[in-house]
Amino acid sequence: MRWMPRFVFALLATALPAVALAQQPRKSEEDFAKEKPAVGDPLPDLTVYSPDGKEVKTSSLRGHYTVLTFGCLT
Amino acid sequence: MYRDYGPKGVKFFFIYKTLAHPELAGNYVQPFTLEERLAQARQAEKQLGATIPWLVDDMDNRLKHALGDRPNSELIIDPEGRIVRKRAWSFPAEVRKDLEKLVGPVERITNESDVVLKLQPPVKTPAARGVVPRVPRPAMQAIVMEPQIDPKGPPFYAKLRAEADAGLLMTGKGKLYLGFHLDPFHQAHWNNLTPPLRFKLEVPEEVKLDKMSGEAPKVQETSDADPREFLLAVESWPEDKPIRLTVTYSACVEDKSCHAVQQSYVLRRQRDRDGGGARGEGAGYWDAEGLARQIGTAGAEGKLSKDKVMGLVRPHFEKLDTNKDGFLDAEELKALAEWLNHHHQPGTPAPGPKQ
Repeated sequence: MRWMPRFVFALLATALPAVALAQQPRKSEEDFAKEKPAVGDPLPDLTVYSPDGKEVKTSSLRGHYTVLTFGCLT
Repeated sequence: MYRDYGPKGVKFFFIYKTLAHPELAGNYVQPFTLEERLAQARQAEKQLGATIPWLVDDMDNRLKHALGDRPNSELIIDPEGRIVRKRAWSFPAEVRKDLEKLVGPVERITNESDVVLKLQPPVKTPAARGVVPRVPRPAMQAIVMEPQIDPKGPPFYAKLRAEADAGLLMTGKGKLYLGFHLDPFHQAHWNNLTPPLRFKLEVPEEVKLDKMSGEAPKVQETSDADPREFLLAVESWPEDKPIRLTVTYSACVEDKSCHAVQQSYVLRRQRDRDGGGARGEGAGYWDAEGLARQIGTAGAEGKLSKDKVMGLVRPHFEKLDTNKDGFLDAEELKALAEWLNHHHQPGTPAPGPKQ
C-alpha cells in the first residue's frame, strides 16, 4: 500500500484520526479562505481536459452542486 | 460520499494537477507535455480504482493557479457556478457535512468498509534501481526550467529536475541540483554500454559556477533506471540571467531499441511554484513554519536568531529582520514566505526595509 497516493487516504476516510487533525495546517486554511476567488465568487471559466484529451470548459459544470478535489499520483 | 450524493445530483471530480511530490510513490516525474499529463491522469484513475471521474489541468496549470495553488484543495460549486465552500486541504468528513446542509441528509451513509476499490500498482520501472548512489539534497526547492521541446524529436525519456537551496534562490549564491530522472511512462532505461549521460551549461558571463559540464558515473550493469544527479556550487547567478543546459544520453525502450538523445533546457533562478516537493518535502509551497525549518533551527516561540540560520541566509539577516529585534519572527518569516511563493519574479526585491 506504500504506493497509494497520499490524498487517497483522505478521500476514503469518513473521519480523520485526531493525529491527522492535529497536523492539518489550520493557518493555511485561514489564509486560503481570504484568497480570491472567495466563497460567493464564480468558478473561473477555464479549459481543462478529460483523461482521454477532450476539452472541458469549467463553465459546463453548472446546473448541479459539484465537488472538485485536487490530486495527483504523488 | 460519491455513492451517497451522486444519486442526489451532486457531481464529483478529481482535478489532476502537477505532481505534489515527484519521485515518491512510483518514481513519477513532472510531465512535460499534455499527453504525458493525460497518461498520468489515466494511471491515477487505475491506481485509485475509484469511479469518480478526473479532469486534467492544462500544462500552464491555469486551474491550479486560479484556485489558490494548493496541492490538495477542495471546492464545492453551486448550480449557478459560484463557489460555496473552499478548503485548502481535502477533508471528506467536512464535505459530507456541507452536502448535508446544501442538498440534505442521505438515508444510509456509505462507510469506507462498504467500498471495494480495485487498486492497481504504479507503473513499473523497466530496469533495476538502487544501482547508482543518490545525491543528497536537503532543503531545496524546484526552480523554473523550460524544456526546449521539438515536436518532431524523441520524447524526453529522461527529464530534468532542477532545484536550488534557499541561499541560491534568495541571493544567487548556493547549491544547484540537476537530476535527470527517467520518466516511467516512457519505459526507458539507461544504456550503460555507451558513454554516460553528459550535460553542458551555457551561461552569461555574470554567472559563476564550480563546473560548466558534468558526466554521470560509469555503471557496470548494462542498464539501470536510477537518476543521474549532480550538485553544483553556484558563486553568482543574477536573477535575470537564464542558463541554457544541453544534455546527451542514450536510453533504450522496452522493444530494445536504443536512442542517442540530445535535449536542451533553459533554467531560471526563480522558484517553480508548480514543481512540487521531491521525496516528500513540502509540496513547493512555503509557509512561515516550513520556512523556519528549512533555513535554520527555530528557538523559543518559533523565532530564529542569527546564529541559528543557515550560513547563506546570515548575510541577509539584518535586511530580513525588519523590526530589528535580533530574531526572524513569524511575521518576518511570513513576509519572506509570501515573497518566495507569490512575488519571486526576477527584479523583485526581497523583503526588507525600503532603501
